[in-house]
Amino acid sequence: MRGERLQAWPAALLIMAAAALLVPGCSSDQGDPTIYRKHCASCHGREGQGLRALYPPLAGSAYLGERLAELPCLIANGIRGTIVTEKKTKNIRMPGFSNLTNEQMSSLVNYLQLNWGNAGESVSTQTVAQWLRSCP
Amino acid sequence: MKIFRQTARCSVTQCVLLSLLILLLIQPGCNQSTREPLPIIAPIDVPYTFTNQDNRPVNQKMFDGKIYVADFFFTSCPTICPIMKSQMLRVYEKFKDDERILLLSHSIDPEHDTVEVLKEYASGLGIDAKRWHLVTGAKEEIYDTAYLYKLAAMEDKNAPGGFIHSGSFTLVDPEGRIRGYYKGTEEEAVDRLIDDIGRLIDEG
Repeated sequence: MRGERLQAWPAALLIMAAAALLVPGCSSDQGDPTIYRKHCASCHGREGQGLRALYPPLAGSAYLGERLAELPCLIANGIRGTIVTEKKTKNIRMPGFSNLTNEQMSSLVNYLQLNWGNAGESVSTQTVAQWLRSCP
Repeated sequence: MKIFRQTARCSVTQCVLLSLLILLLIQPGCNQSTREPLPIIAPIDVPYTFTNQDNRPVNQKMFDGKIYVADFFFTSCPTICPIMKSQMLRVYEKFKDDERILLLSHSIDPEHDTVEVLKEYASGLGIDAKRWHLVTGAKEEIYDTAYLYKLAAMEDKNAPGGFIHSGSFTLVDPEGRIRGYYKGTEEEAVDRLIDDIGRLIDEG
């Protein structure tokens, strides 16, 4: 009886591992393009290409990866003033999107982080909610 | 007789090839000659003087004898304006070396869109004021100008950015007559606009 129980453990662990991969966990969220296309694409372009020097590109942007923890607050509150990127300092005016839910925000942040060649990190809704609570 | 048949066969082949060649040569000409001229929608005569991104006056006289495209926008518009501007840039790039063509974008938020703001916006777009005027002026005059172009423009505190305006581009001919309206947010419509500018150039 004890031997049978021991033999069952590897099978149980295997099932749990498979279930963990299949359950849509927030940390493996690749992001949903719907929110990006609704709120961001008109300025930053459908593929994050930006518009000349007027609206900065988000595709291939090192800034997004470096400032991951600041992104939710920047998106929620907008930007008015100067922003420093790896290439230059620029005066920017971007509207805020404070009406996004924590789930929508994490989905958007993950979409920005993990698409168009951006090799950023995926974040959970809980982490995004925590960052949003401590916006400056 | 045999010689005659051989000659006849060769002639048929030659005739077919010649006919095909003639058809190929004629076809582009046929297409152009069957195109209807663009409709004459209405005359446009704006009595106001605005100021462009280079702080220079802009009035209707500057557009006499020119083909031009007009629209309405505001620099802080978070919705359709960036798409309109990316499409207008296509028109600009196509005709920027042709002094017969001008572009004219009116800001409907003149309180915010000062000459300095328009200058920075134009610089971000990388455009030359000789070809593409971004203009500001008295609010009532700009709104009346939109009315003269038969386009909507109004303040609305509930709208994103605080304004509602048409996303249309208006094509005006060298005699100051509106010849077409095009959705400034749709690539296919702007393709048609670029083609129609070519048609106005052909009208001479």
